Amino acid sequence: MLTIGILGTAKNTGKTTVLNSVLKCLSDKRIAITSIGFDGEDLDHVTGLPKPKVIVDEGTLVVTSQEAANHSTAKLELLENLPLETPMGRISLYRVKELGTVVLIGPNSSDDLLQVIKKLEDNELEFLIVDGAINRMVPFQHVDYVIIATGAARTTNLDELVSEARLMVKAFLLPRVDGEERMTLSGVVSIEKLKLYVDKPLLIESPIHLILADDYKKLEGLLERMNIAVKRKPKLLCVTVNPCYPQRRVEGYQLSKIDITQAVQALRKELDLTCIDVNKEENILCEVLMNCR
Amino acid sequence: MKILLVPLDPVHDVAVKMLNREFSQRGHQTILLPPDMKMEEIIEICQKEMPDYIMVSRTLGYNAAEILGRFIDLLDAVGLRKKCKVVVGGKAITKEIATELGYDAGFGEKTRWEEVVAYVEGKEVLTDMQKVRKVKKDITEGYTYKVKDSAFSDLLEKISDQIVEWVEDKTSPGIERAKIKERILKGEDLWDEYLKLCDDLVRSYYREKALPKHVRVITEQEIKKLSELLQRTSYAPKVLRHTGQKPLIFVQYGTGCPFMDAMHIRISEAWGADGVLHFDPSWGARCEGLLEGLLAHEEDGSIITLENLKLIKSALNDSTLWCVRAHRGVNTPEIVLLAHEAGADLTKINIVYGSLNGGSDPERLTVDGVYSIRLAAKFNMPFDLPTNEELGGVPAPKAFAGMMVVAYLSVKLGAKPILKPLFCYSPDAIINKYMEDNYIDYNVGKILALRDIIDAPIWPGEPIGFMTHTEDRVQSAMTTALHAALGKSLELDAITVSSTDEAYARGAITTSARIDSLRAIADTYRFFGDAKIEPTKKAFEYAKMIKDGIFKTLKKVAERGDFVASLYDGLFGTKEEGANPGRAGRGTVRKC
Repeated sequence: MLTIGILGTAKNTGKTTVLNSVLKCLSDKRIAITSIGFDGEDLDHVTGLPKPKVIVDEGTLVVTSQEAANHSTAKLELLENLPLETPMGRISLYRVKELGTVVLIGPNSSDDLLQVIKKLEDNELEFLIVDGAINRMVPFQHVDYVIIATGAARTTNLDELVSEARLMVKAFLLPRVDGEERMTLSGVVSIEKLKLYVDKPLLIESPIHLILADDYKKLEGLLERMNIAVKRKPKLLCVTVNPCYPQRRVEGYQLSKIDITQAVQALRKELDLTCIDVNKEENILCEVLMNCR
Repeated sequence: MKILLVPLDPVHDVAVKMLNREFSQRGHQTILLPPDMKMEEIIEICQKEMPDYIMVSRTLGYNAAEILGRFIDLLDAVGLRKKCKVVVGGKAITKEIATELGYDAGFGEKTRWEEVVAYVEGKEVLTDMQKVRKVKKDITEGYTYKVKDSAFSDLLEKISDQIVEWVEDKTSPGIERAKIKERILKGEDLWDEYLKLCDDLVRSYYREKALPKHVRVITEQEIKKLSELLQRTSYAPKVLRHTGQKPLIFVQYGTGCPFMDAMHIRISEAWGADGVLHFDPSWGARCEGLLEGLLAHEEDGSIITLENLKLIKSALNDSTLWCVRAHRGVNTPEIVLLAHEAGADLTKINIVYGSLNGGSDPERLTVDGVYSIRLAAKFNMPFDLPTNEELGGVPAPKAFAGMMVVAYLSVKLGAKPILKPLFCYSPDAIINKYMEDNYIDYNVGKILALRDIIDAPIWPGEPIGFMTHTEDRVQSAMTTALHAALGKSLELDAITVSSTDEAYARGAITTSARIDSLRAIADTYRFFGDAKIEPTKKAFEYAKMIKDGIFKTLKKVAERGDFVASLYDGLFGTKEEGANPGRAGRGTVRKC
C-alpha cells in the first residue's frame, strides 16, 4: 500500500479540491482515505465560507470518527473501532457501501497516523490518501508521497509564494541517506541550530523538520551552502497552486481569486517538478499519480 | 498533574492566569508562561519540563489558526505530541477547530472552569442538562386575593353580586355548545345538536368538508415528520433569571401553523422561556362554533381545535406553562373546556376587555364569561385578565376597574385570576405625558396601585414594552429587556415578551427574533441581579391617581346598578376613549 499525503501551507490552499481530484484519478484502485484534521464540513470553521465536499465511491475504506460518519451522506459500514481519540470522538474504520459525501476526522499526530497505516496494511489496498489539516505537516513524515498544496490563501504576494514553495521543494529534494557518518540533529532544526554546523555534513529526521522553521529566506540561503541529508522523507509528487483565497471584508470573509499563472510558470521554470493550477489541470495530476509505485 | 499554561498570544493571558490560580489551588503543579514568547522557546520549555498537560490559550483571528497548527507540528516534530495532552482554549475555539488543529481537546467561549478542571482530573462534569432542573410553577400560589381597602371591596361586592344575579337565568349558544361538547368528549354523539348552534362556516366544514379561507388540513406525512423532528431536537434546560424565582417569562405563539408553533415553542424553551401563550385567529372569536382536526391557517393565529392543541402539547416540555386564551369571543366557554382537555395550565378571560376591545357583545360575553370562569374554577385552571383596551386608548384606571370587577367576581366563583396590566407606551399615557421623562414611573404606578387594592398575582403583558418597539431589532430587544428588568425589580410574577420582529414581521415572525429578546433579557438579568430600578416620586403620584381613577369608575358602575349597561354606556371607557362595545353574538342571550 502506498500512502499519499496532501500537505497544505495554510487554510484554504485547496487541499480538499486536490483530494477529490486524487480520488477521481485513482477511482479504479483499491483505496482508503482519512485526514489528520477535520475535512468535508459544509462551512469553514474560521471563515464561514462554503467548503468543497469530499466524495467517496463504493468500496473505498474511510477512517473517521463515528460522529463524522453520521454526518456523511455516503452509506458507511463499520468495520472496526480503532484505539485512537480526537476531540470529536473515537476513530473507526468504515467501508463505503454507497457513493456519497464523507466527513473526515482522522489520526491527528504522527504516531496515530503510523498506527492507522499499520492497521490498513492487512487490507490489500493500493493507496491510502491522507488529507492534511490547516498548515500542519509533521504527520506526513511517515507517508510515501506528498503533494504540496499552496496558493493565494497562504499569501497573495506571488514572489513570496514562489520563494516559499521553492524552499519547500528544495527541502524535499534533499538526499536520503542510510548509515553514513554524519552529524545528526534530531527534532526541529531551527536556523540558529543550523548556523552552528554550517561546515559539517548533517543528518536530520525529515525535510518537514527543516521547513518548520519560520524564516524561509534565511533557510534557503543555508540550504545552498550546506550539506544536509534526511533520514526519511516522502517523495514529492507535485505542487498545486490555488488561486482562490478568503478575503477579509467588513463583514466576515468573501471568496476571492487572483491570477496565479505567473507563479505557476515561475515555479515550473525554477523547479524540476510538476506544478499545476489546482482548479484547471486535473489531468496532469492523474498523470503524475500514475507514476507512483 | 504538571500543567504548562501557555498564552500563545502577544498580550492576552487572562484565561491562563485564572486557570493557573484554579489549578494551583487544587494542588496541581503549574508553570505559567508569559505572553509573547517565541514558539521555539516554548517547545524547549516543554521538552525540559515534560508536563502532563499543555494548555494553550489564544483568541482566534485569521492566521491564529496557522500559528496554533504550527505549535502542534513543532510538538510532534520533537516527539512530544503523544507524551502529553495538548489542549487549546479561546473565545472562538470549538471542538471542530481543535480537531482540525490537531489538539486533544478544545474549550470555547461558554466553558466553565470546572469543565477544564474535570477534563484534567478525569472526572465527570455535570452538564447543563443535569445541573438545571426546571419545574412547573403555580403563578397564583401564596396569594390570598384579599381586597385591602373596604371601600373597594364594598363596591366590588355590590357589582359582582349584581352580575351573578343577572346571569343566573340566562344562557347562550356559546354556553350550550360547551355543555354539548363536554358530553361529546365523553363519547356521546350529539353533533347534530352542536351544529345547530354554529355559524354556516362551521356547519359546512363538518357537513360538506368545506374549508374556511386560508385553512388546510395537515397531512399524515407532515405529522410524521414533525414527530421525528421533535424527537431529534433536545436541549439543556435554561433559566433566564440570574437570581431569584420571579418573574416567569412567557412568549406568545400563533403562527397559524401548529408545526411552526411547535418549533417556536421548542426554541423559546431552549433559550429559557418558562411559558407560552396560544393565540388563535381573530375570526375564531366572532364565528359561533369550533372546527376540529389538525388544521393549518395561512394567516396570523393558530386555529383552536382539540387536535391542534394536543399536537402542540406534545411539543411542550414538562416544565413549560401553557396558556390557551379564551377571553374575548363567542366560543369562550368551549375554549376553556378544550384547553383543559388538552392539558393547558392557564387560560385567559376578561369580560370587560373582550366586550370593549375584543369585538364581543357585552351582554353575551358577560353571560359566557361567568360560565367560563366557573368552568376554569372547576378545572382549577388559573387565568389572566388582559387589559389591552389600554392600547385602544382607554385610560389605565378604567381598564383596571374592569379587570378588578372580573377578578373579584372570579375569586367569588372560586377561580384564581391573574392581573395583567400592560407595560406599554399607551395612547392615554402619550396624550397626558405620563411617560415624557421615562418609561418607569407610570408602569410602576400601575403596579403599586393594583397592589394597594388586592393581594393577587400580577403578570404584565402582552407583550411588555408594547408601543416602544421599532423595526430595529437591537432596539426592540433592548426595550423588551429593560421592561423585563422593571418586572424583575418589582418582583412581578410573570411577564410576556415579544420577538423583536413581532410588530414588523410582515408575515410569520422568525425564531431568531425570538431569541433576540430572550437573549437580551438573560443579559439584563445578569446585569441587574438583585439590584433594583429606582422610580422617581412621580411613580407614587401616578399610583394614587390610578387608584383613585379605579375607585371612581367602580363607584359609577356600582351606582348604575347594572354591569352590562355600564359596558354599553361607556363607564369602563367611552367610545371617544377607544372603547367600542362589540357586536359578535348580539341578541343571542336567552332565558334558560
